[in-house]
Amino acid sequence: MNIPPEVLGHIGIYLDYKSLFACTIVCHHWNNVFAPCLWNSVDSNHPPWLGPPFSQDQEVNIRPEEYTHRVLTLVHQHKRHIRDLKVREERLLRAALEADLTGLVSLYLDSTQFFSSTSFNTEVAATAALVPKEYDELIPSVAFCYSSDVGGNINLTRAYWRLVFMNPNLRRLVFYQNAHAHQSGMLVLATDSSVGENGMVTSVLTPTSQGFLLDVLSRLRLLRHVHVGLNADEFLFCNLATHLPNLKSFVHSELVHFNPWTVRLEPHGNLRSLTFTCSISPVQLRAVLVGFPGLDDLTIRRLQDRHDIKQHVSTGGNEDTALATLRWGEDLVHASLKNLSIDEMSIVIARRAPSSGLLRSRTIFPTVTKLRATICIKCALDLGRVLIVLPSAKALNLRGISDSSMGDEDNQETDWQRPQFETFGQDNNNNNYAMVENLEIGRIKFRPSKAMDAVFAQMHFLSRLIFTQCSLDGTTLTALSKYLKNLEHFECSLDYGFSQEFLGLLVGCPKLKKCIGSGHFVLAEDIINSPEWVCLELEMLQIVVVGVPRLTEPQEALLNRMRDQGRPEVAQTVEEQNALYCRQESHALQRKVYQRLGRLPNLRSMYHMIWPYIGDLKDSLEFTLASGLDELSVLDKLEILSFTLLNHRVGEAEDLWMKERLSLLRSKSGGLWYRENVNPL
Amino acid sequence: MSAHSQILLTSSEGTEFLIDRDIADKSMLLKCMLEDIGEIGQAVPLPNVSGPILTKVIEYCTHHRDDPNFLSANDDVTADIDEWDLEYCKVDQGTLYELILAANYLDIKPLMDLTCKTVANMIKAKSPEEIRKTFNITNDFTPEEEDQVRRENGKDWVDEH
Repeated sequence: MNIPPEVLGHIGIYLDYKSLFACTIVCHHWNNVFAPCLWNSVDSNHPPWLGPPFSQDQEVNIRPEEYTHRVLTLVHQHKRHIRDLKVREERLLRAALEADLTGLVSLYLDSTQFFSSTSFNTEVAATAALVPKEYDELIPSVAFCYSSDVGGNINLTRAYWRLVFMNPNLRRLVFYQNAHAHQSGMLVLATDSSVGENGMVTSVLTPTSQGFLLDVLSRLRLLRHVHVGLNADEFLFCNLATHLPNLKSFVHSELVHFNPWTVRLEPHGNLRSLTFTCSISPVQLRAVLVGFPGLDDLTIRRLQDRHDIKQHVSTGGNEDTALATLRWGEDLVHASLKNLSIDEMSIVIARRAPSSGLLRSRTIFPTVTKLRATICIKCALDLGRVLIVLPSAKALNLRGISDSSMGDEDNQETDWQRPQFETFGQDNNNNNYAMVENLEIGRIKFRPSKAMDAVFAQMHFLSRLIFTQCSLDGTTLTALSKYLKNLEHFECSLDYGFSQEFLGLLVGCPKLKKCIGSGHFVLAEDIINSPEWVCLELEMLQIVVVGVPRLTEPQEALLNRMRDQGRPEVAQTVEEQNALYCRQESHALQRKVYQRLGRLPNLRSMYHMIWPYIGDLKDSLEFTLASGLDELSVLDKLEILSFTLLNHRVGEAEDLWMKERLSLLRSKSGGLWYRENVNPL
Repeated sequence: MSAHSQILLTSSEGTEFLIDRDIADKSMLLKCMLEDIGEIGQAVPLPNVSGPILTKVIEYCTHHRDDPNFLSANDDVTADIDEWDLEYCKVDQGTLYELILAANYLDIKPLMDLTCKTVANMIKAKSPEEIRKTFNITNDFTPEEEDQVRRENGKDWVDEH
């Protein structure tokens, strides 16, 4: 069977360098098909270059001239196949110029490792010679910055731009640049300082460097993706609509201080993807969203609650005024964004941070389904606001900002109360539900609030809910069991005193599989009187049963004496009779508790008593056959049973029973039994 | 167009296949054709696809009928193939090639990606000689030519170091 070359070439997409190489040796036909695949993409970090050959972690004993010769020859031989070039090393740049590579569609430059070779100066001289005289005007030296704190080399910089000029069909242009420009082998574009009307100092490109940049861009008609630094990012970003109207994707590559006054942009309808590595403020976020109505993906590495504007401005208005004039009625709705990735700045000072930057931007993202973000919220009610803002997101990760333990009553921002917020959950229409399935909340204090009920009523589809370092209240717990009918995984730590509310989860959440966390104290009486548990799928439960009536010490002594006298069940005095009766009562109650636990047929692990250990729990469940442990024998899936910090010794009979009936082995540390093939940790 | 409308296809041997419209729409070729000319009620001839292969293709499209990510299903070059797809591709080489050709012809991108990925997995980590054996290919290089290709692609460089 003969596979047509275009189909065979498609297979090449899935092959690594080694396999591709092997394919070229198979036969003439395969060589013709796979050699272009092999050489389509050339990266100085990958074979056959193996990275800068003189780096310390590689022992390569090749003479520099030999290596250079090799690079030059290979690039020359395969130049017609090379479409994608990743230059991390000055020799590849030289080779690309020397071979006259003109078919590139993608060019990537990482010049931070330049200067790595011992023959650096020779290379630079050879490379400089490849930039002909006629480029003096096209790539003017004065367009670049020479100040002593930036490294870089004018000859290499010009050589690089020459390569860009040679490839007018470039679709991708990427400058990798880290925050330390001086480590880079390239020179950045020259800037001037400019003092604005407001007294703020910004740096702007010099007329020459601006002209140069625009000249380059005007030649790259097919450019779709730009990742810039070199001082050019802000100028370019603010003028994208004018100069790169067809661009699909833009990355801010430097940790620049985004000009806080850049709040108005020419609309650019074609951009689909935008990444910021610099800080932007809520007002700027709004401006960006207005400016790019067609965005699908937005990544913001640092969203500040507000720009630290006072640092730059001595007089005039500030961002607070701008934000204060925004009311919910002026929501911005971005109807196209699908993927949002935000890292809210954690260094904001809580006192000064009225709320999450995302919330403060007053923007609603109805179409965002994929969210990778940690959103800082100030109080529990912010949770509801996040749901309004991101109604379609499937996963939310919210975190209280440092001292966000304040309750909702402390929240001054009454303008957040939108009509939708108040009618949460009162609409039977499914469309009104938030789509969130996975919710993680950290460091928030929940206090009784009518609104919380409404918030959780929204989360019909929630299946995984994790509270870390949160303080929960009974009302919230009750709301959870009332509304979260699809909850499968629940994790939280509780304080003492929510016995019935906690059990409510077992009564109310039919799909619950994991219910874990510390401090799940429940009263034995509450278990027995609890309505039928619906969570028959429950596999993992962490619970502490307390409130078990126990004997007084004299009563214990009496019963021990009776046992020693060989008449454990025969009372001879009223005291003995009472002690016997109390024990029967307690055992009967505990057996009922064990019976209830035995009605969770899918239980695989049960942890009784875990941290925090509060004092000496005299009234917790006993681990004895007499008190009903044997009621657990129906749980044939049980793999882990943990009774840590028991207030009595484990009897031999119990231990043996665990081994025989449930095939559970006892751990060395004591109160943990586990199935042999299961790792209890 | 009703949701339940059906399309008649004819394989190379003339066997007729009646399939649901939404299954046919998985093929960009059929989709565009049906959109352009409408449903004419006549059988659509597929002279490049044999009956057994068409059956296999329909099986694939039917399994992924309600897959919301159908078009981007196998986009990720490095992602593992899912279990059903893996099982689906356990066919002899001849069938696999014909599936690739059919997927290419009918323009069913995820099936094309899947089958090519499967072939790629058969190539990975093999030496040229093993590849020749696997695909029953005769080496038409002279030793000198083979050396030449090795050098040209930089392999001697990689091997030495």
